[in-house]
Amino acid sequence: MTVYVAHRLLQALFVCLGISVITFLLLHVAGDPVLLLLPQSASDADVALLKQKLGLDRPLVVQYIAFLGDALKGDFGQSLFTQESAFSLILERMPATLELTLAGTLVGLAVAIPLGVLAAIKRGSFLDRLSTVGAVGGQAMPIFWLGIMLIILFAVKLRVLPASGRGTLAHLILPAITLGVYLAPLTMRLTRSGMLDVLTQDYIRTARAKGVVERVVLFKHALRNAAIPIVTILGIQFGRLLGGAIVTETVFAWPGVASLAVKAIRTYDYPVVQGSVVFLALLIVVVNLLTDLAVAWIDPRIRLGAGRD
Amino acid sequence: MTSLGRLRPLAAGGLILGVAVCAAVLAPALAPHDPYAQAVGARLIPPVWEEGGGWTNPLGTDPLGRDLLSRIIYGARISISAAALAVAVSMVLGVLMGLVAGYYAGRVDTVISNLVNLMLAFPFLLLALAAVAVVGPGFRNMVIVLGLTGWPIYTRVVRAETLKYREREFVLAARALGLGSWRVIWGHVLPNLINTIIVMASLEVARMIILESFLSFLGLGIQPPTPSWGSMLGEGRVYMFTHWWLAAFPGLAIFMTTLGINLFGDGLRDLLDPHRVLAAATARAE
Amino acid sequence: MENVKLVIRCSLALLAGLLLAVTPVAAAPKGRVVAALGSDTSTMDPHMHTERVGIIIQQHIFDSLLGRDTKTWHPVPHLAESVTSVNATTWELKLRRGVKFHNGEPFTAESVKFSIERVLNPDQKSPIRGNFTWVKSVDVVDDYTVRITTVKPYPLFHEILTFGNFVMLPPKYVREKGDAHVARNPVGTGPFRFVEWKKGEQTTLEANEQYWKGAPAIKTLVFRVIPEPATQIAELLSGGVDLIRAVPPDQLSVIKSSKVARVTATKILRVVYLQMDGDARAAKTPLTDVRVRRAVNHAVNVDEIMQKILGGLAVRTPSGGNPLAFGTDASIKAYAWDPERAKKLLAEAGYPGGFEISLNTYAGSIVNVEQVAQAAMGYLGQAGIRVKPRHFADVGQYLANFRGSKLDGITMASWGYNSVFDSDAIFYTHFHTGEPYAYNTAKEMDTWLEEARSTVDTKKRRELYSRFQRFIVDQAYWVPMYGQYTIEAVSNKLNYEASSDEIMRIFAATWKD
Repeated sequence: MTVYVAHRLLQALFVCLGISVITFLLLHVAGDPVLLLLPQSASDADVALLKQKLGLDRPLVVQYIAFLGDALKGDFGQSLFTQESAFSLILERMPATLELTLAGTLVGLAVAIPLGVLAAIKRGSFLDRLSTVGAVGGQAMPIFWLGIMLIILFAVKLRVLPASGRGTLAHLILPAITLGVYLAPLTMRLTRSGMLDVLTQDYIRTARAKGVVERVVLFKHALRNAAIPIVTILGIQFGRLLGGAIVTETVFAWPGVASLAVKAIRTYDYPVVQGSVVFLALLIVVVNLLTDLAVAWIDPRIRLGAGRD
Repeated sequence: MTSLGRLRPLAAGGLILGVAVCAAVLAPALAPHDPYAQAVGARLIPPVWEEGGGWTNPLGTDPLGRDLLSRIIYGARISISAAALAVAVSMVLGVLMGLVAGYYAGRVDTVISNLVNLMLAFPFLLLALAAVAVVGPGFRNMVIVLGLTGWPIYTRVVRAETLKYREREFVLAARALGLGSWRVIWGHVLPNLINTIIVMASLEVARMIILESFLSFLGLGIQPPTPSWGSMLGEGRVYMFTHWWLAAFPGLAIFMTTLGINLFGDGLRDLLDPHRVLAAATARAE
Repeated sequence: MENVKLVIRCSLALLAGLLLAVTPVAAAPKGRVVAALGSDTSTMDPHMHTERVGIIIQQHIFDSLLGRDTKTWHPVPHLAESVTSVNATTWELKLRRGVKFHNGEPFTAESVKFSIERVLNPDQKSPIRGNFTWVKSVDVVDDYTVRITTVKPYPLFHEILTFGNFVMLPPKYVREKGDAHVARNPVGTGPFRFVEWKKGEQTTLEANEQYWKGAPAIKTLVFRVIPEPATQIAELLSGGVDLIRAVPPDQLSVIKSSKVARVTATKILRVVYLQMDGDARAAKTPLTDVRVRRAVNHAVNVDEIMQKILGGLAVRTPSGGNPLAFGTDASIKAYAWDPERAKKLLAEAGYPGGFEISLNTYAGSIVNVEQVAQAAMGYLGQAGIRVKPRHFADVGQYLANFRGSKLDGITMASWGYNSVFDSDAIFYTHFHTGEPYAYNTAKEMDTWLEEARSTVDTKKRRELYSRFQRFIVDQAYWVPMYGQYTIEAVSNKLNYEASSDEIMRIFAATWKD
């Protein structure tokens, strides 16, 4: 088990490093923030001066090494626009994104898992068909369309919920539903197929034959085993979740990291982009690691050292 | 489920998909107007059943007076072909990587697996944004970006399966006979994976259609005036209060086509190999 | 004893009455107003950014030396009570007395000297510095008198003193606390004092009851950041916000038909035009021939764009100059829409079958830019000019290409005059040799432009600009289209009108009751 954990940690490190290099290269090849920092009427001399002041005229390799050195000390540099530490900018907005993704995940799970279990039990029934169609519908629905529809319905027409912003629990409801609907379909289908697969196994038939109560059969035996692929997928879905968060944060004016990163990319605010991408990737890696560990814990085959690969 | 019942989703999906593909292929014959023909004097006309609408433009017109129905029919061409091409690129790349990783194992496998983890950890959207910022938006670049980010899932599944198959008797026998590695991979391992790959690819097409609309929402995908469902949806989002049809119909088109593909793909999977359900679903990472 | 008490009571009453009569009885500020902005300001230090949203917020916290009359938009006294010209290169400002900064620091000539020198200081790295390089020196004559000397005679002196970012800062506070603190805790002389800034989310301000012009009618003012236009409209309709700006013209009907809000729109300085690379600065092009350029002018149906796409909320600019700006010649006629004539001109110039050309656009301050661009493409196509669209999703890349001589063909661009209501602010940088945005130049134009910006004789300047405008229209250097409107929407609870300098004057709004 320890070997496994160590192995995964090393992988995680490699991943983070790789991401930082890719981001760095892409950004510096992509564009020049200097012109955005000055008014349209600035002279070419002004532009050159600012470029030099920001150190953007040094060779790429030098810039990258400098970045890496500082990053290891926790300093991602200052936003080119607001001169604030990129690190503190990201940290400030992180809780909002975490709150949103957590709420979205909870809503998604609350919808997906019961539905998936029910669909598996009542396989072939109307409910099953309906939930499949619903799942496809959820996957096919563009997330911003759903968000705006919810705002129109609940905020404008019915006036029961605020349209945007972050503050009270009421503000969290619509964005969480939007993100949850984004997540639910795949999770539901996995739960369903996982349960189906498990329910036909021998040990289930044995448990039933032994007279174990159906509910116990379902939850203790079936769901537990079906949990493995679900948990794995959740970890991988986290990356997708952040993608959904970008749109959700924009539509609902939610002050999180995802929208910060997008704005930074558009304005070539290198330090903020590098910082937030590395941060987000780190988060994804950590979540993946945790889910892998959780799976390893659930699945005794791995725990006992058979190795994952 | 009875064997006929199994065919029902396949048939339903196939029907819907057929309609979409027909629209794509027969667009010039089906569309009542030129999707690019602007008529600034006839902009924002509502659908025929609303007040102010007419049969000239059954689904209404967009802010430049272009017929929505025609744009949706032509949009089928663009959206489906973009998705299909992206899937083709990612599938070829991903399967190849998976075969190599699974068959040769060892160091090669480690490198490829780490690359897969790297790709999966990287927030797709940020990668797409940065990539498009470098190469510029548009059909070709979008297909490339989608293709280059979609391969990891194929690799994961194919690799896992290849690992299993390389120890099977018929493969060992082939190798003992002295067949070169590639012939073994190509002729003996791959055929067993075709079903899985086909199912994955078909479902991926649906996902690609959605991703295209995602990129277009941010202005990075297909550029106007080319009609694609995703970009029409993006353009229509500000109009949702006043001219709801601009976003509703492309959205409906995306929904129906995706539904069709998913039903078809699921039906195909059930038909070809019901035991693959878990493996394919587990690996379909996004 | 009773009599004494009576006298005292009467005297007190009399005194109270006298006091009441003397002090201005203003209604106390009340209520809360929320305004939505599409993005947040990057800093609360007004000298360190050039963003419209930042200017809007900070014009509520700070004051400029001169303000604007909301009917004529001419500069009027504000913190400076009078501006007199001592000689061609020296101006004397008399300052208003009794004005205090929010922290109690008095506003004096020292504050003016400090603020100007701060902007000019190269180490400050102020992005608005380039607008003030005409200043030679600032001298304090006495506590309420300042003299500013210019390098050359500077005709835009009054205009520049109304500049949105160019506000007065308290010297003692800034020196003590340092720039980093000032960037997050602004202290000015304005109608509202700063309460809180939740970055990326919202800014909260509170009425300054001691404001020298009288306290504003609104007690609490919140600026919320809402990036998505559809969400902004939803918030307005559901009562969540009271003011929104940059409303797309197509969305006005739903606001007008609601019972809770109304639309307020007015002309602004920003003009939209099609720039043509007549000097072939970027690449060889048919546009070097004046007949081709005239053909392009005849091909585009500007009036239809204005009516249909902008809902009539635009004003034609025959020479490219905005009617609001000084020096715009209103007698100049625009090229009429005439696709047949366009085709004829093209044939004369040697292009009977038309030709192919790029149209560059970017996502920015042009309202409905995609639709205007596509409409333009359509019209050009009808005249035989096949357009290849080239869109820049990012302003940075677009600007780099514009300045770097890489924008060949036709470019759809807009210009905000730098918020200066004067022709110099548009024509110099677009037509003077060597300027970053000049893709059409000529010797005569250089002379006229240089002369016009170095004399303060308004009659002379008007003549020069008229001559200049006739020349560029005759040479058809660009396709002048229209001046935009600012389109805002406000809750029916407030009396509020949009302003032509795009500064939302929420400090002047009052409650409807």
